[in-house]
Amino acid sequence: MRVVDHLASLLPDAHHPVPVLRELHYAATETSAGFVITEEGDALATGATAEEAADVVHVRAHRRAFELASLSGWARVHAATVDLATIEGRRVRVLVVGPSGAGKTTLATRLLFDGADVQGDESVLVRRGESLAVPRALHLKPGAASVLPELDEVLPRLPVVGEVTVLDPARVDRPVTLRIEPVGHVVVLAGVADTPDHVTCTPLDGGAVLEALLTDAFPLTETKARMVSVLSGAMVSAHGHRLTSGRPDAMVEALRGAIG
Amino acid sequence: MTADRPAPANGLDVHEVEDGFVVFDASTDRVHYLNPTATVVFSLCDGTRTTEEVAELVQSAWELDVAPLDDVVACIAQLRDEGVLT
Repeated sequence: MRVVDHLASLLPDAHHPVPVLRELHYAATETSAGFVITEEGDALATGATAEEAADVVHVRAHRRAFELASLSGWARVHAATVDLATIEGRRVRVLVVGPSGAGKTTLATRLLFDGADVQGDESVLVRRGESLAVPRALHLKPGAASVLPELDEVLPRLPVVGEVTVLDPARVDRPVTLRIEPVGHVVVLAGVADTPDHVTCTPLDGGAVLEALLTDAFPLTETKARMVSVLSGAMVSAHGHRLTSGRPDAMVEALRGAIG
Repeated sequence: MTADRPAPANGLDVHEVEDGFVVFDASTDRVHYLNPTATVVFSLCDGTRTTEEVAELVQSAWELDVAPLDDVVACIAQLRDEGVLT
């Protein structure tokens, strides 16, 4: 497979509303010793295989994009981003925050199969009054189907990278159109429910929400003062919630009950 | 005797959020979250008002029967302990 084909498999099919700010040009030239990768004509790295070269470009392009975003006033937070419809028919943006393994991807996948608009499951860019998910296919860990039986039907069709099964919503007939929206709710995954069905979603004050966002932020060029400023601005109209982990259906029910 | 007139500490970044203030103190690298009550007290402590005057304004704002002097004193003391007020 060519380098560009490997890259295509890494990139989700998502439509983006933000005008292109800058183009970065990469080249991967095959030599007898492997692949030589350049960025804007300058030597960047080497890769032994096409897959390695694609990974180098993928990681580097993302890093440059996040640096540019940071310089444009955005902060990046480790969170899933889901747009949910409320009882009144409004659309609200929900960020789900929590450490790796807390259940963000499981919850996002459950919501995806419920028809929710999952914008991203790994990270989101935020600034005052705005948020924009970073598109990435869902990375399902081994055993995901044990808590999400709906995956049984699609898992055999999905690519596997290492131990992770990659679920691109667009490739299971759920195309993603990214939108810039204000953050309506921040849900912090904290604690395990007493029983899998006894999940709770309780109000969380701004201080605890900010602490969770700061803990799960990816500072690049920002000072802490600026990070606090940007995250405070992003939360200016957001409601905070604490959601315990349990059966995915129960988590969705508790979450929807809290949001309305 | 000079009346106690609490004021914000120097060098604070203050940000308004939905239910209060977020205050970042770069000198201590600490982030403080002020709930709605603490936010009002902090906002009133601008160096020109005595503690008693702040309590009277809180009484007026919340239409209380009496000025909550003890509560305001306690709140100011806590904010001073945290380095948010002088």
